[in-house]
Amino acid sequence: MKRRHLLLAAIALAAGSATTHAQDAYPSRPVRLIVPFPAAGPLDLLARIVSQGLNEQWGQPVVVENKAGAAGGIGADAVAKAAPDGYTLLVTVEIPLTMRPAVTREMSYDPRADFAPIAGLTRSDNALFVHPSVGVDTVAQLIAKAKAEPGRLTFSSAGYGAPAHFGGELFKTETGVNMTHVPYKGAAPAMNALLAGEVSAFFGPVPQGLPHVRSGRIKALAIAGTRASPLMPEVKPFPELGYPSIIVSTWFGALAPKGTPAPVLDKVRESLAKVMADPGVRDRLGKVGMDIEWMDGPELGRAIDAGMKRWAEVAKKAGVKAN
Amino acid sequence: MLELLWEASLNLAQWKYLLPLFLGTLVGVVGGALPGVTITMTIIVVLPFTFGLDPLQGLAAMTGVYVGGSAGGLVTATLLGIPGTPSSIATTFDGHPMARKGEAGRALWTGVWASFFGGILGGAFLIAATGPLAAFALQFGPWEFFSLFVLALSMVAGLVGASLLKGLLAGLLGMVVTVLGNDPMLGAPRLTLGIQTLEGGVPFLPVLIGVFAFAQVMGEVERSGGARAAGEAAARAMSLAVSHAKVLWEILSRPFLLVWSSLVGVLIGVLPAVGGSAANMMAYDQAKKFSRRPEKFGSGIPEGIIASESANNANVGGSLVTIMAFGIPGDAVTAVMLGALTIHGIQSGPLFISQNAELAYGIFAAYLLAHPIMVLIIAATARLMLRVVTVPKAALFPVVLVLCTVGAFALNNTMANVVLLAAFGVAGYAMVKTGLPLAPFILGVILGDQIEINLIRAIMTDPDPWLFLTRPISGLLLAASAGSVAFALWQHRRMARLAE
Repeated sequence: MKRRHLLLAAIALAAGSATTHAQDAYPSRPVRLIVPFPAAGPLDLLARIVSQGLNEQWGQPVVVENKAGAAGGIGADAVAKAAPDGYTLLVTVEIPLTMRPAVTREMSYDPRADFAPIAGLTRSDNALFVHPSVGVDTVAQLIAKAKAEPGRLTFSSAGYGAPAHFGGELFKTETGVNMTHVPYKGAAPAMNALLAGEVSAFFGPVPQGLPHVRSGRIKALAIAGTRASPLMPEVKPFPELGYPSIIVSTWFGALAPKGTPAPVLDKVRESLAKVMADPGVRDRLGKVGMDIEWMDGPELGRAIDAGMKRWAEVAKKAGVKAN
Repeated sequence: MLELLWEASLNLAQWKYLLPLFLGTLVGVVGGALPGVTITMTIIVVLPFTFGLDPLQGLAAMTGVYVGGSAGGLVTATLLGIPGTPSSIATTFDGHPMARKGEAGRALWTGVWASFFGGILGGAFLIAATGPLAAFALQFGPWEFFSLFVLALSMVAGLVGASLLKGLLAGLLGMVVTVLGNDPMLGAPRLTLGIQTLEGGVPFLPVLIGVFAFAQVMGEVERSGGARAAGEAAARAMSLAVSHAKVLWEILSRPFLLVWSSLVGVLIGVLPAVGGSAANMMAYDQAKKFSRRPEKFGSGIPEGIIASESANNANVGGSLVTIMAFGIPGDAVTAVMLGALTIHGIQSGPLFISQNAELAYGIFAAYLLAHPIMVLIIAATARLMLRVVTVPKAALFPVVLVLCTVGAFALNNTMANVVLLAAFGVAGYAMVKTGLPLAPFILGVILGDQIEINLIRAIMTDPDPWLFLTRPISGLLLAASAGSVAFALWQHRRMARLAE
């Protein structure tokens, strides 16, 4: 194992020597990857795979540091205010950059002005899960049931402003029904509430619901993405059911503090591209429902713009207040 | 089930699994004993190392951390009066007074053996009743959780100490602390003063170690200030020797206390989101209520240590129930354990048990095996640990405070928690000075936000308020709360009369 590390490090060094001087110097000491959510979730897994890959290429320790809290705001804020030298990077799901601004009146960081986007890495779709006690098998039946009993059906989420919250609100505005949002603290308790039948529905991540769908404890009605999931090929996406806007598909990416030198950003981006090109990595991420979807810096910047605009509109339309 | 467990145990009895289990338990004992380092934090530190191991090796190591950590917390709790982890808060109530009386060895080993038996009993409950226990857990909606936490809060009445009024005030202050930060349901900021780190509310850990460790250290400094030489002479005279036969007899001659405390631990462990911090205090409160000499609780009697320590290790067993029944984690620690499997491409969920029976039962077997290992580790290091009480306080306390500070920082890797630690340290010292008891305060901090969240969640799910009474478990828990308060008040009065 160790020998392989050394070998890869040597290859990385050899490859690096062909490029500019600034890139040669970076990284000359350990790099911190800030993950703004707790350890052991899908994002954490991605960050740890990335850190391992970068470590092999650079021969420098790349340390994952979980700074959780405030829907990712604490960790994002820490990176926004870190020295722009490439030694503090943010690996995050889009939540603190696109969704949190829609429900937060005073942000301590600016998702666009305070960060230099490096690359988008993966994407993960959510799905609409319901408890069998609701007695519906299709989206149409769920809509009919919700219309018959306005406000009676409930949906859980990992918290106010979480993807599942937006998913539920989108569903409400797009189909014209009324359902009640019940927030939980994290995706796991939100799923447990659905498993116990405390809530009727949950727009949860596909892999999180998959084992429970297979065991028959919950049902998957639709994928909130543009295409079917390879994990649940039998479940249709919302656009195919006539609801093109009910999409809750989140990207995962890497960013640096604004002002980080371009050669450093380029080097990180190149190295990330190599990690994501590894078929083994693709396999491991696929198992947790993440598809590799590469975006370069400017594309990621546009994705942040588009996301901020979209979720702000959804929040406005659904009457979700900013605090 | 027994057959599968037996197979898993035999499989685990190989060096390649026993070694990580042993190392994990060792790391757990150390992490648990360090004030300010919780079991969850220790397991996250161990997490990256498990990625290179095979899944069962990793799980064995992490299960060892869990069991070792639950026991390690008692070392600091008894010897220094500072809970090493939230799950050993109640151990300080009697463990530390006993150690102060010169019986440090007895206090430590009462805790260790109680942990051992509690853990094994927890395992026995698990073998006998995984199905019913899991069904019980699923009965718990927001109504039941609300009522359960109200019952837990009613313990304040039993933990108040001499002045009922001051005890209730301390409990209330604890609940006020949980109001700080964004409203947990709708995100409206409350008393955050525009400070972003306060948005997520005040994390429990800096409050706990601030209040306990700082107040404890200041108290000791004051005590030893004038009569320094005398204090240290007394420390040297402390009995580190212990008669294991006597300690074992003290525990095993109280079978009801041991079984009941373990059952409380298991039941609390089965319920997601409650955790060890409530289990040990509830078991302590129950032990006091059933005791023939409740007035002695808090003076350094073995019952208090037995209740708290058997409950917190049985609690670990309880948290494995949801894994064995549904393949889903029951608390933060098991969530990290199952989450670690995703890096090996194994998803938690009901299929986890059928497709990976070897792993699921391996966790269980590791849990049982970790207990004797834990006893061996403490036996081998007890002399060293007990030395702590003879170390001059002037050398010891700065170290303790540094460890607390490091722990608070490491929680989220933010300085804000260090500031909170200092603030609550001063507050805790002020509380001790004004005679406000710390236990009800901590209980308020543990339960305040849970009561609020579940109350709102219940009403959001169904606006009918009668459900709190008409849902059977919820109604029963509320009735028990009323009974518990009445009984505690009666006991309090009787004790006051006895004192006169």
